Order: sequence, then structure tokens, then C-alpha cells
Amino acid sequence: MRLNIRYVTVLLFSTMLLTTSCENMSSGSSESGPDLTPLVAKQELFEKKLNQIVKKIDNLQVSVNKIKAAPPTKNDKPQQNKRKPADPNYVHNIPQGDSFFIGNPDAAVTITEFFDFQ
Amino acid sequence: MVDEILEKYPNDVKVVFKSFPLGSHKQAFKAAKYSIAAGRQGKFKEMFKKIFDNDMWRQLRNNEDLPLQLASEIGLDIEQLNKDMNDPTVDAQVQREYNELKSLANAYDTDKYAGVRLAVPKFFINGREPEGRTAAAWIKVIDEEIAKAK
Repeated sequence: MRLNIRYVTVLLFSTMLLTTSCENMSSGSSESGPDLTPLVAKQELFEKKLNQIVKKIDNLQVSVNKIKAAPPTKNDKPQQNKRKPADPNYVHNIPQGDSFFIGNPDAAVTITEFFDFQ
Repeated sequence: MVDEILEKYPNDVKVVFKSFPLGSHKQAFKAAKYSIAAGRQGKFKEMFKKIFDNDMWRQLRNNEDLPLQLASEIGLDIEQLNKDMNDPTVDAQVQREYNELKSLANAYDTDKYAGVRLAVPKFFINGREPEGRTAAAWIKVIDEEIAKAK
């Protein structure tokens, strides 16, 4: 898409340049001036190509709009992947239960470690 | 880290161990069972240390009964250990502890964020999750909790 736009811009500039130079040439030359037929033919070709490209971009735009408007499918991952950093002010309820512990059984502070042998 | 904290707060802190064996490898579940079975003989911490020290746990993948070989080194009654390994209440304890952390996953769940990360080891201090695993972060929470209790 971006490439296309760049291509169109380059083409537009070259067409403008061509047109201007043709005008200059025709205004500055007398009837016996250089034959402009090949240049005019080229310009027509440019214009034709340009129209084709513009049409292609329009089609692309329609497709993009369709994709944007489409409802999310099952395969789309929900955007809930961000993990909040640990919140030390949030108090989780983690009963000791019959889990094993070390240290003073009457300690005021309990550190709970969840572990995996891996 | 845990040892350092216990050394610093010998009276004010205790450490509770809960297993969270990830489903991807069944030997982790078995190893958790071994540690609980060892705990029934009063040697939980010894088994826990034995498996973690020298990266022994790396060998579990190829030898899921490694803890059984380590058992005699820490003076466990092997017959009793095998008996406890077949006790369904040991399985139930591993499962219960696993579910405890799992159930915390939805805590402080919002539109933007998911809850507690299910990664181990995971530490809570009186139910509070310290910011990071640095001594400073832990000590801050521990001191707050001790001040609250007094």
C-alpha cells in the first residue's frame, strides 16, 4: 500500500514535469518546432497507468475497510494479555491448611511459597 | 532468600510451602508428592532442599523416582514413604495446594489486566505479593506486617 502511494506520487510528479516541459516547448517553439507526438503518446500512457493504479488503491481501501468492520473471529486473541505488576497492597486469602512450614508456628508473619520442582 | 529472612526474623516469620506442579511434566507432580510424604515423617524441608540443591530436580525428567533414592540419605523410613506415596490424601494435598494458587489468578482482574501471574516460585507475605524478589521488597512488607501485629 505504502509502496503504491510512493509509486503514484513519483508518477504524478513525472507527469507534471512532462506536461510543463511540453507546454514550455510548445509555447516557445514555432510551427516548425520538434515533433511532440511521441511525448504526447507517452503522457497518455502515463495517464492510463496512473488511472489503473488509482483504481487499484481504491479497491485496496475498500478491502481494508471491510477487514476493519468485520467482527472478531474465534481465532483473534483477546487483548487481555497485559499482566499487572504484583500489587503488594492487595491481600490474598491463602490459608495455611495442612501445608508444611518451617519457623515459629506462632509467627506474626507467614511467607507462603508456591514451588515446582523444575 | 527464604533462609536469609528466617535468620533475620527467627521469631516473627514462618514459611509455608505449597506445591504448584505444572501440568506439562508428570514427574513434577510425583516429586511434590514425595516432598509431602517426606513431610509426614517430619522431613519436608530436608527433601525439598535435597531436590533443589545441586540442581537435582534436573534429573527428575529421566528419573521420576529420584526422591526415593535421596530418601535414605535424609533418614526416611522407605517403607512408610512408599505407603504414603500410595495414599490418595497425598495426591489430594498436592491438588489442593495447586488449586489455591490457580484460584488467585483472577485476583485484581480488571478490563486491562489479568491477575496474579502463575509462575513459580511465587511468594506471598501474609497474603501480599511483594514487588519483585529482592530482600528490600520483602523486608518492607514484613516490617509493615510485624508493626500491624504489635
